[in-house]
Amino acid sequence: MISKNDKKQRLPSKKTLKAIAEALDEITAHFELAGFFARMTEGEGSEDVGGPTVFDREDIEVAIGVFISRLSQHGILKSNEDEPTSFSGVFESFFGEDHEITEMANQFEERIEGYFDLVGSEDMDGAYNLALEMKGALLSLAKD
Amino acid sequence: MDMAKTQELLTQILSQRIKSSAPRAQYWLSGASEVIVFGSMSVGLNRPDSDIDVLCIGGDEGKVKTNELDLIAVSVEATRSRAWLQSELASHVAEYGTWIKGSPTSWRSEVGIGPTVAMEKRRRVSAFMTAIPKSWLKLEERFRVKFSTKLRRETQRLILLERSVPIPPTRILDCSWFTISKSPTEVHERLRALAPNSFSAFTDDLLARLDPHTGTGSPPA
Repeated sequence: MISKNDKKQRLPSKKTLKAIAEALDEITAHFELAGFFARMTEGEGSEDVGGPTVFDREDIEVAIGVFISRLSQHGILKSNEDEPTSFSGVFESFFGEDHEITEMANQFEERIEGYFDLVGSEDMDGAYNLALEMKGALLSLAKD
Repeated sequence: MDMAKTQELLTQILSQRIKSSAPRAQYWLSGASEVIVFGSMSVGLNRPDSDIDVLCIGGDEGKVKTNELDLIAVSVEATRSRAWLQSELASHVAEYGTWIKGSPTSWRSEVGIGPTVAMEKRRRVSAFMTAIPKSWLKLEERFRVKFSTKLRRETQRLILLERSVPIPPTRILDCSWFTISKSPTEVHERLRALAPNSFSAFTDDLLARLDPHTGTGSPPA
């Protein structure tokens, strides 16, 4: 979890931490709904095993766009073109590049990188769990 | 610029990019029998902030992506497969790539865009057009610009793939589409056809972002 060194860094206010945690719901909700938009992998011998196995990366990019837009619209992020437009960039701007939450955001981005814009279900699961962990970490910090 | 100078320049740029952003990429370069630069930099249409796209053939498979470098490594066996020979990437590399190590082997002459590639592109554009209107009003303008540009480019690529034409570098899609399109309105028409009927406000906003004379629009800064 959050190390002592991390806690020494200047953190955003509790209100901001809660707002970021709530904005993450835009992403986790997308993951929960993604199965309805994604396709089954097609090919010889493939069978429906109850869920999609490959996801389009652009769907996740839109969810991240909504997440960042929400922070801007609520005044948490300044809405100008110099502000970060990447998921990890948002967390780096709030916590610095060495913070554990920023590291989780980097891992999230690696998970959704995909291959030729297709993301496998294992990576989707991993990214979803990271988003949940990040939300938990943010709420934990907001309580301290 | 002649080919030898182009190869020398691209080799120099690639070395610099690897040194500054991804030293581990040297592993795939060293193990490859063919190293090909493709995308905008290969044809001299890059912007100062463009990354360099590299395909390594031979050795282990892998990929490296940073802001400065996008490297994909495939095996020789993979380049003999039907999936590779019919892929969007293979046709692009064969048409626009610059070999900076080795020389083109037999796969280059066997490349031909397959029907499943256009089908998959159509599915993805269609899925994106169906999913994005639900989020459109929540997105800030900078993201609407980003995603409308992406939709327009993907639609341009779809149109070309359906004609079995190799996809050119993105700068050509953005700035010189009129030189390869059959009509300035074909991107409009295709996007309108793919748009869900229940989101006409989204469709109107999306189409309003396209230049009516060229069928394209300004790329995001």
